[in-house]
Amino acid sequence: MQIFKGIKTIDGKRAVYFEELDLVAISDLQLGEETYLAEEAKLFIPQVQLKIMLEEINEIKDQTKANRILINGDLKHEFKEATFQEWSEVKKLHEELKKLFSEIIVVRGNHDNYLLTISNKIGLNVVEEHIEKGYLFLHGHKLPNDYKGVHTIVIGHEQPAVILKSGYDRVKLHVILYGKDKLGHRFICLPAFSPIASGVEVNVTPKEELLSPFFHTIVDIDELKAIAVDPSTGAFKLPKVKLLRSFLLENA
Amino acid sequence: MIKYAERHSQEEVEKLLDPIVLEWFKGRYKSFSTPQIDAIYYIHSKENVLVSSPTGTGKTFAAFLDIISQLIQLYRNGNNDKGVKVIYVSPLKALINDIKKNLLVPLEEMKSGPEREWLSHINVGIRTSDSTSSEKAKQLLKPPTILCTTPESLAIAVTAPKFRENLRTVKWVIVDEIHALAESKRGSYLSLTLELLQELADFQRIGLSATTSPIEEIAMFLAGSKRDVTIIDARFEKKTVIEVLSPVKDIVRTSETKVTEATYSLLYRFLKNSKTALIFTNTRSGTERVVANLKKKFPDIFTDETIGAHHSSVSRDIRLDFEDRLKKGQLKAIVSSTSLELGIDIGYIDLVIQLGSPKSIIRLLQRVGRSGHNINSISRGIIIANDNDDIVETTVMAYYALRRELDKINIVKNALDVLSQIIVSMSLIKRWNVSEAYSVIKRSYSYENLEWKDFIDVINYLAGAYHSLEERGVYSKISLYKDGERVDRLNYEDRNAEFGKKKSARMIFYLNQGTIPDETKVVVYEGKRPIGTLEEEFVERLVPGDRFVLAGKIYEFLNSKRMNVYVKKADDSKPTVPAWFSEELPLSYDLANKIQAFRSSLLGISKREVLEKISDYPADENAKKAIAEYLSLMTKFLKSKGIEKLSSGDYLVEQYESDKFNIIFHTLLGRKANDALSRAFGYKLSEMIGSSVGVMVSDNGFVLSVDNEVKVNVKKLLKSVSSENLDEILHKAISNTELFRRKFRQVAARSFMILRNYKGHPISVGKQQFNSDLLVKVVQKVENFPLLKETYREILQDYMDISAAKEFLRKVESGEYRFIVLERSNVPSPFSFKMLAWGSSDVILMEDRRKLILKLHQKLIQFLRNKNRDADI
Repeated sequence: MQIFKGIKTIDGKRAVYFEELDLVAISDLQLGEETYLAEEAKLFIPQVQLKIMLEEINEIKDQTKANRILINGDLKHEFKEATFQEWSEVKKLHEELKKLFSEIIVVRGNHDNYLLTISNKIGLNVVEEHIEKGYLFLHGHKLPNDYKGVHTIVIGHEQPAVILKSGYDRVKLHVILYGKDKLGHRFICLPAFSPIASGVEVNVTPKEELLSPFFHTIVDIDELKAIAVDPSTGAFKLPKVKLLRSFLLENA
Repeated sequence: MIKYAERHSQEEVEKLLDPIVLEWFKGRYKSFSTPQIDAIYYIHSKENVLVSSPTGTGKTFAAFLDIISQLIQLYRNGNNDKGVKVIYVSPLKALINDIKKNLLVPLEEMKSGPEREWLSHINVGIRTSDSTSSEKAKQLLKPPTILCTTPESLAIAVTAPKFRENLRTVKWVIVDEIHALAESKRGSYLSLTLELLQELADFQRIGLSATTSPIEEIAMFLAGSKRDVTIIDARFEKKTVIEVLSPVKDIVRTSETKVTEATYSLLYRFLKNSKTALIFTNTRSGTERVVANLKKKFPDIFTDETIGAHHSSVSRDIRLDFEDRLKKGQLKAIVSSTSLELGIDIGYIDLVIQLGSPKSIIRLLQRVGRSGHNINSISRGIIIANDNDDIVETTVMAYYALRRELDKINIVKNALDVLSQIIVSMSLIKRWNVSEAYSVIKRSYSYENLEWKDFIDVINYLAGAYHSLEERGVYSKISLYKDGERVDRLNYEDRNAEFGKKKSARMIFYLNQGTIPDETKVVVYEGKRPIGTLEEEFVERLVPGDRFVLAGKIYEFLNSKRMNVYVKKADDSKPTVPAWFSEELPLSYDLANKIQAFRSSLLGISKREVLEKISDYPADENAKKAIAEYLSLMTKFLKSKGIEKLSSGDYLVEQYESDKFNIIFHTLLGRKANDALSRAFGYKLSEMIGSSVGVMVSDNGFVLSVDNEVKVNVKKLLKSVSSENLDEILHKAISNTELFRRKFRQVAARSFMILRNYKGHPISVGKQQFNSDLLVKVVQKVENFPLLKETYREILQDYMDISAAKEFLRKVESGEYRFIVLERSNVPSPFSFKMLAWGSSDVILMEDRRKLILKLHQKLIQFLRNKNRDADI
């Protein structure tokens, strides 16, 4: 399904394919979340994230035949110094990605504070933002310095989802948000790739509570449209966030 | 072997007591009560004893009399070695202080006499979570003869490396309020702790229980099913008088407001004519409301001084103040919603008033039994019913209570989360061979049927087997060994493997042990006014526009910020989200069956005949007339459907068309069994029609609702759930519900998967960062995870009643019971009014996620078309 010209969804995956760049983009993997939860929240859940994500990535490769992958921030979870789990999982992820893709780009997210310590050791390329042929990839927790030559902005960070409700039926779906920003750029917000991310319900959350400064400046989230991505249905189009908000209230 | 006590006489027993004790007793009391005599006799004979009698009949006293007598003899013979001799366990921390006081007074008085100074060797100590470390240090050096403690503190004491040595001299363990413990996981916990104590000392077990049933099972719970126990059954020693009252002449046709007014007037009349009454409501919010209303309506006798609300969060000072005023005769009434927390001596209550049904015969007797000045006087109770169904229910309940036919409690079995905690505590004591540990655990009645496989799964979970090798350091709570070598997991064949402690485990155990779930509450505000609290899990799923019930009123969710939820009143609408967190107690299964038989026997006959049949039931004129009126309305309804009579094995199924299509199951089985049946039938219905289904569950039956246009083959639906497939259907039906997430979180906390407290700091981080959605999502991807199994077990066996539901279905399958399906109609039966009034209380989502999404997508397109915005798709 086409998002913009040359930018496509990948079936029901929480990922986007950029044809011109032969690049798959995903965001917010939050590796190491289980250990983080164990250390900080004393919540000892079994480690399953990485395995599931690798399966998904393999399927993405099969479907797109892309040669390059970009992780748009929050590859790992830990704010502080890297834990052992993160080390081994980031290493493992890198090894698997190398088998599938000839180039791996990692854009730094707000949770990736000590990513450089790991990445240097394993030869992973980490950047603050990635610009290529007018496409700007950045995590979204900070605004860029300028938009010179940029026609498309891709962020993560917000982990968008949407709730649909009618009568007794209700469902929560992860979505790709897309549209034009106030400066005329094409704008895409990627969903969280992590299988245990619950997602932020953008048609419920008041605009003031959104995390990314983009939504407080050059992007009006209500004007963005959504594409729901779900393994059971694949990708399908939804209307603007503004209308998704009123759909919910009308069906109360 | 279980046996019942034979009656013994005062003279026999006087010979057994030490002269000092006997002299003291005769100086203060005239004679022993019957349960006291028998208790002394059998405790003296060194038997395990269960004493079951109404509260305030001197049980505790009975237990201690002989023990103190024997202690005196020990000391007199020069046997005064250090160490704890008696452990008294009570689930109520608040009352343990009282027990100490009640023991010290007689001990002091016994000391006054020549050459009795050595009696001061017998001292009483308390050990609870309130005990300071200096108090505990003193106890280490000078262990009290009698230790009063809670199940949690006992568990810590048994594992404390130094203090546990003082427990090797224990000869008697008294478990008070054992009926309350047996029904909960706290009882499982205590039961296992006692087996660990058994490894240190050989002791006699004495259980003290209020009126309860089945008494033999409670006896086995006390001592483990292999040990002998003697039961002293004094449950019906006190003469009891109970009557059911209707507050108005015609409750069928009187408005709710008028009924409430009349109830208060009736209350006033009774309270004016009694010295001190104990009033029971069924919910905590009800308690506050009754007190406030009585003070407002009748300020002449109800003031802050003369009436008070009592509940579990009442401080010790307030409680002591109540008791003080009670003794002085200054309190007219105490209002409460639970019976357990009241340690008040019955000597001061002369009447018990129950507002609305207490939901079980046992509970009624326990509550009414709190009145009357001593075991030889009469216990008086009145029930003021609040609607038709309530009158019927309480009349049947009172009838059987007076006939001494009790319903039953359910003892928790094979709780794997409690087992996890105990295994950790075991590891702190020594290194165990797994087979040895397994056999110790199985001595407990709560675990006598524990499967080896489940035991090993729990061991593996605790050892961190579900995590990668490198991470086990963080996750594991015990260490595993095979042939002396550290290993990470066991196979089911490893019968000689061992487990031992891990360094951090002791701290984690001390700070997090216990079975009472920690509930994260969120405060609900209407504007600036706080109106109550909700559980975090419930709030997580709320969306603007959702409506729910809180403290008896309906509110609409506006938004939530952090730990606060903002709502507005929505009285004129129906709830749209489940009220599964209902405070109300469920009707017991046994009583439900009795009510079913009662109701059926009164259908198809005239009002006069009904009144004749119920003439000897303990209800007043108005109540009896109301029953006759209610039943005759139902009889008329049935006649209009061509049904003359219903037998007790006939269960009506109505098809009622209103704004929705409702299938009403009149399965009068109690809410727990109906919770299971409704979810199973609702799940199957959802599958059959490819749509989500609304569910309403009550004690008297359940309702499944779908959109009107949907065609439902009810007969096919009824055949789709059987006693064989019920387990499987329920497993699927509950796995994606809030109930499941909530219970899982509690199980996870009890198994130390989530910690409340680490290194002395309560955990604050993480509450915003994770939610139960996450927890459950992750864990469901793991196979054989014991905590998942325990969550299902707790929901199906403890929260619902799957065995009652299965029994019902089996009887339908055999033909003993029948479903009688009525034709579609737009008139509901009188018996269904109450069930329908509350609207949907839960939703069973379509199982097929794809279909669900497509359906919602359709609705969305419809919505947009109506707004002329097709262009947006």
